[in-house]
Amino acid sequence: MSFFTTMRQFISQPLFTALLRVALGAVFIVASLDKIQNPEAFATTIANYRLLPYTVINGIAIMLPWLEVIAGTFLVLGVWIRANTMIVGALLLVFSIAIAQALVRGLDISCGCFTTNPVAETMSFWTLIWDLIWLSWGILIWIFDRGHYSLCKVFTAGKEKIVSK
Amino acid sequence: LLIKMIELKKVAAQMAAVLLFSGSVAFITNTARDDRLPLVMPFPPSYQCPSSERPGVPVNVQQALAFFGKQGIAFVDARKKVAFEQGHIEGALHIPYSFVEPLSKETLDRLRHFKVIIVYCNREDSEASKLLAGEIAQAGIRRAVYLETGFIGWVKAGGRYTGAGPGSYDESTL
Repeated sequence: MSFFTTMRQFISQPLFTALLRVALGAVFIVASLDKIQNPEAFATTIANYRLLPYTVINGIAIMLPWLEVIAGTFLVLGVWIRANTMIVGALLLVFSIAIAQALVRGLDISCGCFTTNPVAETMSFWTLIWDLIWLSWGILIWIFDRGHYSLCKVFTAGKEKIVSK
Repeated sequence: LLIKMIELKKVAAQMAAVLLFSGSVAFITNTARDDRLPLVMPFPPSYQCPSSERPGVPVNVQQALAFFGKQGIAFVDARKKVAFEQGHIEGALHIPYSFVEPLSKETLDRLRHFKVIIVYCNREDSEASKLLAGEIAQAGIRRAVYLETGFIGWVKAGGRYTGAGPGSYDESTL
């Protein structure tokens, strides 16, 4: 058995993919909390990237943390896994592009990934690496997660038991 | 393929539902809170410039007139292209202020050759000149200042300019 086959078997195990899904969901929930509490500081963080016209920044600062917390919670619970993985993956892709362009342009700014405090978290190459790691988790969840250890599965199993009785 | 298409449609519908739900919760919550954000960020936006140097300082029109024509002094027009083409301080460089796009390395290198850089817009309360002067100063070119009275004040004080006077300018051109 080749190394890749062994790896594939390991990664495709329901428990492993479920753990990845819960971990990715938890990352998004944790990341959203400070942004929800401090929307103005988060708007400044987005402005610091100087990627978007200032007219749209507040709208994004209002909506993005809630999208993160809701998609993250759904991922943890295993509700609409593929849809929420797609949302989280798209967000991670956008974050990666934003971080990469800021690094290339030499903007000395905070990432704003987990905190809105501008001096707490200086952006580095590792910020981008972590985003790409989480994006790879999302891809693995999209490919291998079949909804085991999810809320939907619990309800379906309950129904099946009732029907079999 | 048909099953995949149906599956993708289902995923797209679920994504739309999550987006709609999140958007609704976000905007309702924002409306309900005391420290709510306005939907559109007011200009000038607060943001952090690329370095921690000090921002630019103001210069009054009399000081600017005294600097005019001397070697190593640059006047920088921070307004939009249409305003610059209508009229500007004689010999001024045109570097329109952009919130999204920071000054390029080439532009900054070009500005480094000057001893004093005076940035201006139309009016006294224009923000773009302050922001651009701040950005130039924060990029390490410390002698970047902004003209307090703007182009309008410059013309009133008898400063030299090319093109039309600022009387007919659209306010939105800064």
